[in-house]
Amino acid sequence: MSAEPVVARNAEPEFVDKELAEEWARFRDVLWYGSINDARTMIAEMAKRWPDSERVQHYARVLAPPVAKSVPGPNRSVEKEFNWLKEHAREYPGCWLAVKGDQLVAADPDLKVVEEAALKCPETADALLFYEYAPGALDTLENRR
Amino acid sequence: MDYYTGGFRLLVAVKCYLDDYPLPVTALLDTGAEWCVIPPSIAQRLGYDLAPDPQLRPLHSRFGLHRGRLERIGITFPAVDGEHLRVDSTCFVCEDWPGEVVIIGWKGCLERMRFGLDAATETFYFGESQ
Repeated sequence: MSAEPVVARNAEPEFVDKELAEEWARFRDVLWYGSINDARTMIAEMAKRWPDSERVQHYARVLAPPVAKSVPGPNRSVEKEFNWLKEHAREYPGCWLAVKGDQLVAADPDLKVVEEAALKCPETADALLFYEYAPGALDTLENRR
Repeated sequence: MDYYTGGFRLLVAVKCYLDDYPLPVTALLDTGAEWCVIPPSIAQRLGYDLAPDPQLRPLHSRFGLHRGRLERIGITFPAVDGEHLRVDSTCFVCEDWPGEVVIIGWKGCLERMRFGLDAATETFYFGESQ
């Protein structure tokens, strides 16, 4: 291992370990442009080799194969909520909405306000959250590029 | 639910829970999306750091390049019939992501579960991968 500054191509001067910096530069290319399984293999090997690197340990944990597990819980359809949203959500452009059944619980541009309103009452504590964009909001953002 | 809002079509909307956040959110199930994306407003409520990781390449979307980070987030799909499914997923979080809709993408989530769609009845079937 080396303490000299990073010289790896495409690596920011954050890693002082040259080998780690070079390996990271390869890893992040595989992560973004290669196969996720190859990236997982690489980061798992790096995690063994550099147990003290917080970043490597973080990504080894974050990129571990997802674990899907069945869990019990109450079952409820959101058909009524989706129907309500289709009919009424447009009346609240730029707002977060909390909907329970066919009733609007709260609408506000601030998610926290809507969350607090829904959680205030046990009957609405499982209201569905939804964000209604202002008309053309995303087109405007796309055209700004 | 097939719904058009603000310039994009929410074609396959599903209900899900994120980590221990108490309220369910509406998410876009997108088999063409590489990663799951959690909008900054929700990621912040979940307590995640939104500061971009300078050691990651930016993510490219129709809105441009986004610098962010990857995090491990539990996504639970509640069932109407049968058991719910929790997937410990890899998600992209980013402070300048312009969308407010959770995106359920391929890598780190859909790749490890079994799912199917019935468009006629707007039903999402899911279960553990074998």
